[in-house]
Amino acid sequence: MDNTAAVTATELTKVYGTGNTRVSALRGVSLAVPHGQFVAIMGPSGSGKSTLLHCLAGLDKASSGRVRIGTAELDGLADGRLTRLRREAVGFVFQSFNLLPTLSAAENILLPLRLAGRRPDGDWLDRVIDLLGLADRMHHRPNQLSGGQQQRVAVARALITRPSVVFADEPTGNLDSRSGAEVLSLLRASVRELGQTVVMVTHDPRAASYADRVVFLADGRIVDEVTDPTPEVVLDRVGRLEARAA
Amino acid sequence: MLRVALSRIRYQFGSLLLVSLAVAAAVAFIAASFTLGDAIRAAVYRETAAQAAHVAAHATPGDAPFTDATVRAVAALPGVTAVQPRADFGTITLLQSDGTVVRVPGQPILSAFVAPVDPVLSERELTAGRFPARSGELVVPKALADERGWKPGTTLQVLDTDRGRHRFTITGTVDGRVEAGVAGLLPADYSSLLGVREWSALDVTGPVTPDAVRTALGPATVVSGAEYADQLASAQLGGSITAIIDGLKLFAWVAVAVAVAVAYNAFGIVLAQRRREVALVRCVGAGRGQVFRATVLEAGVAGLVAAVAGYVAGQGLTAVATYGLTSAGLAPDSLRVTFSPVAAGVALIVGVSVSVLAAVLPAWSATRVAPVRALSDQGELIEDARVGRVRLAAGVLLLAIGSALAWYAADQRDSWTGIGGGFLVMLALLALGPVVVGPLVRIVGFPGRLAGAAGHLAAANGARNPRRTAAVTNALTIGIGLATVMLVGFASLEKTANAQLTGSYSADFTLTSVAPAPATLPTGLAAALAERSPLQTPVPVRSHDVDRITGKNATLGTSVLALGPDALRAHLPSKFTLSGDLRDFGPGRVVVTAKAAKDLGGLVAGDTVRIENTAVRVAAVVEGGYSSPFGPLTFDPSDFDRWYGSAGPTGLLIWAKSGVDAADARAAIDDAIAALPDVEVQDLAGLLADLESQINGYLTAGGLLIGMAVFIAVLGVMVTLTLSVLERRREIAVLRALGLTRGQLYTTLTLEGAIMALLAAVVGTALGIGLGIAGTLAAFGVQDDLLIALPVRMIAGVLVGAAVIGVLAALPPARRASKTAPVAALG
Repeated sequence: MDNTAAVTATELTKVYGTGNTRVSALRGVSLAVPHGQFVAIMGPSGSGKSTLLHCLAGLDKASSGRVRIGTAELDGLADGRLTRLRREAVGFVFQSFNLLPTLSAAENILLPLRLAGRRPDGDWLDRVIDLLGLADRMHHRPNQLSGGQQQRVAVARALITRPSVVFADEPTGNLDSRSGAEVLSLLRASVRELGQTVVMVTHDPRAASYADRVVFLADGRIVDEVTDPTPEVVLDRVGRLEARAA
Repeated sequence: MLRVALSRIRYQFGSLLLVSLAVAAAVAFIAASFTLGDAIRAAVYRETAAQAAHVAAHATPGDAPFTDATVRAVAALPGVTAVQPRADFGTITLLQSDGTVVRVPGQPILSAFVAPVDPVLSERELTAGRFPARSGELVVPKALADERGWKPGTTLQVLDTDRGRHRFTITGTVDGRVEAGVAGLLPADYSSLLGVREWSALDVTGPVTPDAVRTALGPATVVSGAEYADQLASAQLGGSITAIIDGLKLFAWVAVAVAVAVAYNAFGIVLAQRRREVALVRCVGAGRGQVFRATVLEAGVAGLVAAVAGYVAGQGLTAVATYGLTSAGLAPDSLRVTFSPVAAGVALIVGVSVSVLAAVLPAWSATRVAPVRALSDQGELIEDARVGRVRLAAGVLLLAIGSALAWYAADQRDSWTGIGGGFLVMLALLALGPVVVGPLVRIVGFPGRLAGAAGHLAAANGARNPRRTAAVTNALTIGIGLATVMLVGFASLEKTANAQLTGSYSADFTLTSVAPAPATLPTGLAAALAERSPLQTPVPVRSHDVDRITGKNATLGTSVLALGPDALRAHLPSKFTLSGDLRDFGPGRVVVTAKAAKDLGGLVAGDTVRIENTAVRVAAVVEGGYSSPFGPLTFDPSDFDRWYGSAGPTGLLIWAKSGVDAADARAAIDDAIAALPDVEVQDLAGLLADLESQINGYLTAGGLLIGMAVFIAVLGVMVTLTLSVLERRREIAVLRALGLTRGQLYTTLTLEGAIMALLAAVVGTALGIGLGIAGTLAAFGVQDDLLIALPVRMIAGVLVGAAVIGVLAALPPARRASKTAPVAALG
């Protein structure tokens, strides 16, 4: 494992609105995610966890502070460069799957490569599909797949470009617990077997327990951190967090 | 629920405006055509009323014609202050004071009108000077005076029927077209010089009743001034101007039909976007009926807004059209845009009903939304690819019947059946659209796929909602289809006319005498022309009308020609001979064109033809018809001398020397005949140019009319793309998050527009070519020699134009979409 982290945030702040309507979503967050780590970000509603994810992924600009993905600084990048960076170095898994309805599962998986005008690497594609366990459904449209299957296709789409980091935003939010567990196992496997880095936002302690490390956010600040968590430990920390907020 | 509907109108004014845009455009066209129609009607009545204002009685002859004696008798009636005789037609030959004959291009014979004996009785308005007061004075149209540099005071010469010259002075200029008369002479001059002894009508002024005039005239028709004004008005309105307005209205209705399709689409998308909201109001207790009524009410309000906006735009359009029509001389100068209650009413009804009609189906499907949809928070990525079997069957059936009818119409030369067939094919298109649009998009979009991911996405998007894509493209298809039908029709007519004019052989110029009988050309003209260097030696011909030519059990009356055998052989290449040999042509022999031979019972060389009672042998049958420069039947001059006596030539056929420019040859001829009256020049190159400009004029007019439908269809592409961009906001955000650059997004959406437009263009031109050929055959097939032409370059232009239009229509929505933040995908 090399020294440079996959994602680094330094003193991130994010302020929405001005004057009376001014809201600080992030108040100085610093975080480093090493390569090959599965990090879960937890926190109550309004804690700033989604904002943090958006800023880390280059989807939103922080008010101050710096974000690095791999060796690339995100600050001051123009839209075109930022888009290419997302295409090449970042993968996304969304809460509502967000597969394109007009494309088959295989086409959805290959979409980021097509957008970049790159040819798929056959071995890698096979490995990803293999890991996915959906080899027989590759030519189905999203509306012919179950929610769990759609989300697994979405994970494959995130992995296909071998990004520096995969961001997952409540990936199990729309799934039943069994499908959710499958998707989380898949993310876990991608870290263990493919050496992928994953940053996941969730409010489900069971989901967070799949991660190597859980970061707790409250009021725009990192307030706690657990490594190699179990659901019980996470639940306990969440409870303490809520007690403190009360 | 009413309140929900109204509040939504307030908050979603933007999307409503988009829906209303196409409706407003259609309303504008409809309102403009109605306003224009009313304005023209009003102007015509105003002008004719003014013209007849001073007419106490207007008399037209019964059995006996009106003569100068009639005029004197009416003038003697008590209370009559003036009697104005009118003439239908009198030909006039004018010379400038230097002896040059006044010729008007395209007018072999010039006509004169009767100048008013009292200025209040003039049919034309004076623009300068005064009306003639005594013999030897005349007025001329302003256009001709301006062109020739004539002013009041300029002197001219008028030829009488014996070709004696009379000196005239121009006293003034009047309005009116040159074609309707080049000079106005007082009744005495008119009748003595032009040989017109009978008047077609009399206008009477003064305190006299129509009854008194009727009593004096005996068996004549006499009407009052007011009735005369009505007659004038209906004569004018029965002319081309009403046909133009009717055509305008017809195409405006096509535009309305297109607008229904576009608005239907737009409502469908808007309501699909609102599914969640509808589910929510259903959850809190709104009934299906309430949802339906609220939606239709909303559509009604949108339609009202569209009607008002469209009406205002329509008034603007009318102002432009008014200017165009008056400057083209097609409408009275006094034409003004006025408020037309009919136009306002039609605008209101069309606006609201188109909008409501378009909203009914989408509104009904909105009521089908299950309330539980409000509870699922899954993002909606809608796809609708189902197409009914009934639709497919109905479409195929319609297409089969329509094509069969079109085929039958083309075969039987039956235009009404052809129109019916075309209508059925268009209906089939509407029915089949959603079925065929998917595969077609894949074909048309194929080149797009080569353009990488953007093209691939565009093609996939085009096929994702076939019903919607079909509705948009159908509108454009109909416009492009109509345009193609028109292009094919006009191109065929032009090709046919062109072929008839040039034939396989023709004379470059034909000089004929328009003098009173015996219409011979001035002696020495042929010799004078032969000396001109750009011209070959002219070939003199003599023509004669024969009442009875008898062939094999068939008779014919036509104008035949005599011409020297050597000249005929020199100018009629032997390859056009169908039977016999031109070398056999000579005294007692005749050359017959194929058409005349057929009409005479299928003559071939060696057969006998009787001219009146004289028998001649057919030397040869050649290609061609009645417009052949050598006549349908050509005789030897010695036969003519024997039958009709010897006389000078009635015509000259002239060919330019090879390599000489047509304009130079024409100039040489014009110069040679400058001082010779009664000679008409027919100029092949000129006729062809006239024909082309005429066809181009029709094409422009037709293009403008069809432009209305195409304009709305393009609005439709734009509105649909804009709304579907709104609908796909999340999807676009996902793509942006996954690494689609702004440029790629632009490309995707513009390609989508181009694919839609190209699809419409391909289907529209295919349909238009088919229906155009069938329609041309059906409408004009009774003409023999109808040639079908496909204006390939123009059709290619339509295809390229459609793609460009599609791209342009996609630009505003693409701009809007490119502002979507990628972060919206996570919302």
